[in-house]
Amino acid sequence: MDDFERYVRSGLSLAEVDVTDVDLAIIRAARAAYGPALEALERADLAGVWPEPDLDPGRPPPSARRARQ
Amino acid sequence: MSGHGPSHPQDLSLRAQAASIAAGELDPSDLLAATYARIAERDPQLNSIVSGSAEEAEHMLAAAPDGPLRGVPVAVKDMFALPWRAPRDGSPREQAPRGESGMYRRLRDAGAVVVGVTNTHFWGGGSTGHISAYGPVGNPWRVESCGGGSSGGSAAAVGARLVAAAVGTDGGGSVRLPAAYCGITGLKLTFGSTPVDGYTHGYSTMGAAGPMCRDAGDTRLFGEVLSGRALPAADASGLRVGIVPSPFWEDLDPEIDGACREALDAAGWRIPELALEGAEHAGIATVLRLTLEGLPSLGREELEEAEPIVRALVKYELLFPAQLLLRADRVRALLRRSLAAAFERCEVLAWPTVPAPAPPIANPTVTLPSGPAPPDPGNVRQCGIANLAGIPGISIPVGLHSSGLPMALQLLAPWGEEARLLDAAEHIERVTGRRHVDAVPPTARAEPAPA
Repeated sequence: MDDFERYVRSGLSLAEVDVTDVDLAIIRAARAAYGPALEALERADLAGVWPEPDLDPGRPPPSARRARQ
Repeated sequence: MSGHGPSHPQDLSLRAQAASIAAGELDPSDLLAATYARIAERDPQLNSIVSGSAEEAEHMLAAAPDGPLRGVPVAVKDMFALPWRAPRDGSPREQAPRGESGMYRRLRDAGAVVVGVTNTHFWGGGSTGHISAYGPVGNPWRVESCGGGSSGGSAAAVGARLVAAAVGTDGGGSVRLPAAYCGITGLKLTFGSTPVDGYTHGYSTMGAAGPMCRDAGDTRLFGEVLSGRALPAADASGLRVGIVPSPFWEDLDPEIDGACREALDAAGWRIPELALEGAEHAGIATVLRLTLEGLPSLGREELEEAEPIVRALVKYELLFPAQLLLRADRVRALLRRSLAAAFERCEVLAWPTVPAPAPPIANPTVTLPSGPAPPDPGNVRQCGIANLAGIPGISIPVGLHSSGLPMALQLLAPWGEEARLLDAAEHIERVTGRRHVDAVPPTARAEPAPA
């Protein structure tokens, strides 16, 4: 059992969700597809970017000038 | 009127069907019967419609008010409650009670007749349409290829001329992606343009409904009905159309890259190059928002019953650290501001809707310059930014790949500017002689089997 399998099995076990070998194979494939982008997002410098308060996706943001604080 | 042959009323545009009925030249009862005959003839190879109730359609027709679509048959994605059917999202279970959803009321009040519910990728969670409790959706251009997702049934039904208009929904590209795969026109409306009562993903901050039709003119008419507002036409020959080279013009099938550039060149638009801060994270931010918003609706028992790939993907999503969602929300804020700034320099943004043509159902893998890949990550990279931002986007056909499958260009506009997208799409249609929107797929050319 490698670190990733341990992570998947123990993480889902805490949530009381069973993991089959088929699940694990598919999760490995998903990680191969999305893992690099997730890691890039985790590394991204977003400290100066604030989330949008009272987000309304149907309207433009209140001010484009406040993209970075 | 005969149910077969070149004079079949489902070969007419949505506009022509509505006008012919209003002028008394086409009996809507004949149109309805011909539509069901065509569905029976062509859909067995596509599997685009999972439920059709002739009796309910006849009731709708009998009570149809004198609206813009009086007596015109349409299909609806399996995400909206209908009085006779609970929506199932491509799963075996009912996801909401049956009833009059807001979308149903919009269609009914326009006089439209719902002839079928369209196949949907399982829980709306994929861009291929090959996973559904009702079987995979085929592509009108090659039935062995994916029809797309998650509104694949709607796209395939329109592409094969079963109906002239179908309702789709788009949480990460799910109107535009299958429209691209099937060679039709698909418009994601601005977030909040349509009612969400009776919509199974009404909780979402990403999802928006949209019209799926063969060309921009029909999409305009159907879009007006769905959004409940006028989308007036204007000249689009002088637009400034921004392109964002990275990441949206990277790692594309070369033929798709070429076809999209050719269409933009033919349009004669000024085409400034722009950068969008945060765009490199748009795809994964979309995946996080889209998938995690849906998890609270999902019961444990339902998860264990789900199709194996879908079940495993949900388990993977359960492991995402919470801070990633918060990071995605910061990317979302950054992208919305970046887009607002970009739209001060151009009226429309443009890039390919999908990086590669529809993959085979039997092996849903696409071939990109970087190598073979599952289709979803690249597709969401191209489309998700519009969902994160809430802006409208349209996919329009721009040619056929050497594989025989459609290629498509995507255009994005500021919040509420759907009419501009339709103007731009009609401009492309004009300068290309309508050859892409009028192209007929093999399934729509097939002669009916002898009686």
